[in-house]
Amino acid sequence: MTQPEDVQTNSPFRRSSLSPQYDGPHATVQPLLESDELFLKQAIEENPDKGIELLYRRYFQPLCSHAIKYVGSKTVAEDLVSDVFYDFYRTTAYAAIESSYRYYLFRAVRNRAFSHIKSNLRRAELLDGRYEGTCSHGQSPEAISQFEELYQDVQNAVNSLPISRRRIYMMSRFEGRKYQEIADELEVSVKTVEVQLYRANRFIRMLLRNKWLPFFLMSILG
Amino acid sequence: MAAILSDVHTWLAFHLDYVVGELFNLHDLVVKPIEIMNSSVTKELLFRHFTGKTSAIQKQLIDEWASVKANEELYYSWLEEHETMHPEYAADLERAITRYHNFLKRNKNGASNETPENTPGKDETTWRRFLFTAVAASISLVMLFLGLRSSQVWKYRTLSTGYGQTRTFHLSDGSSVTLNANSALKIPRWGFGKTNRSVFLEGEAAFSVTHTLTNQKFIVQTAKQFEIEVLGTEFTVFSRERGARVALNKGKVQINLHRGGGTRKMIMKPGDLITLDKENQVKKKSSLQPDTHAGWQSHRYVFDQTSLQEIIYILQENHGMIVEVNDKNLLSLTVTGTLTADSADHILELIETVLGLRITKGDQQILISQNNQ
Repeated sequence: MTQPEDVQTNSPFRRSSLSPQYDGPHATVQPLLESDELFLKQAIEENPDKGIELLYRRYFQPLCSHAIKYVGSKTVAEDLVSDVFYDFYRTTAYAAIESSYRYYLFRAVRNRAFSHIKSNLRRAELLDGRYEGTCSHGQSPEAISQFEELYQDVQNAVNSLPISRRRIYMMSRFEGRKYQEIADELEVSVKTVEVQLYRANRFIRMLLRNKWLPFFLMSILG
Repeated sequence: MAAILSDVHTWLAFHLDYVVGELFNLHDLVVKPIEIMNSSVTKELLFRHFTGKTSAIQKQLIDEWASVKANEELYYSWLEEHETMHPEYAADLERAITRYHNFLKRNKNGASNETPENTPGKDETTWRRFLFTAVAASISLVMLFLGLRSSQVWKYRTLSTGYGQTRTFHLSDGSSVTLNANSALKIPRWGFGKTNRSVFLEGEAAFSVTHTLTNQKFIVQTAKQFEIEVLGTEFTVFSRERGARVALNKGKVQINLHRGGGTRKMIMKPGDLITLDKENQVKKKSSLQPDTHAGWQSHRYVFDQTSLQEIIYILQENHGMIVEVNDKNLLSLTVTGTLTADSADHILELIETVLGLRITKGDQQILISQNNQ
């Protein structure tokens, strides 16, 4: 998209009319992303290696901030986002892209986060012997708002953990700290940390399963 | 711009529905609510959706709306803005970039391993090596040259406003800046570095700076011999040819004045106003109404014994007008009061009615003269 407002010159002779145009009573909020997209496009066409590095600098932070809402862990979120970038490079998807990079990257990250939760839930179900079936790469939700609903359910599940258990869960999951470190800091045994984490994970899975597992199963059959 | 478009869309849809509702029968009325709400997916609604505050009905409307590709693009643009304004945590970008470089190396090695080297004669190998080195060297020379030449363009970009325009921009660190008319702000194109968040202002702007986890300083540089250093706060800066001023609404800022090789530091408290005249003479006073200097954000002008000269500056700087006065004595006439002006014409009207002067509009300029009726 072009932004004609941005190419105005500052010459005082440019406008002779006495009624300069206003954007309206409120100043418009303009994230000014489109010029970045154009710039990135040129950079990637000239040199994909360097161009994609710029793409990292532009979108890595917001993408990670979004991914962590689903996966809860800094490391997993950053790996997941990096994988999207690697694939983007490897498959040369950048050469054929017609939408904005932002559109492509956000969609890819959301789909991957969705699959991540799905395979976690499925693996747990298989271990519990509750569900047997072939694993396939199921589809993603058709409705865009289901992505928001999923991460909000994840967050609500974490929030409804008992407080001490949530603390251990956050230290392990979000901060990626070792069992021993957590045990030392909270002055409990490693065994306690393990048990608390097991219960926390099971609790979160239970909450998600009731709502999302039928959906995941349907997406395989459908 | 997209935001404006969607507003226009809502407005149009509303009026169309109004007409339809009056002309047609009940059947049309049943369809009506969906039409109205469908087009009223606004940024505000999506921001509420991102924080889990939408109803099932609203979710369905969002889904329908986003099934159009252009809207879906907008959806991700707002999502990105939301994530930037409310980050969950600070991601380790530098580590990711290092890993990306390793990935590239592995990828390149992997690719070249697939075509194993032949073992040609010794002479040929030497010749090839020489050729390769020569080509590589010339390529890097060219790239170095290009890099040096365009590094400024490459690294910075400029946000700007034309005459009579004010706009709000969100920066990558979550801070926001509202630029007054005819102003420009230079910011790093690829986000702020690890040390300071540095921007360069020409004109007038109101800043709302967020505090970062790593206590990064936010520095506003100006063409005048001073800069403003903050951690997180709200303030307005004016820096043009004729002088400069900084007004603080909230928090604490430090002004670094450069003169004669030394730097003088001044700490500002909320309500303080620091002005610099054309010769860089500094004055500090406590302003009782700090919003006097921020009113332009809502096109509100607060005049307090403001001279005609001052008002003419506003017309010139913000609206790009050339104004002449036939009698220099008129310049010292003053105005007190608040004016909400959507355009320069409103300000001219004020001069005509309150000061009782005559305004003559020419092609390129305006003449203000005594009313000799």
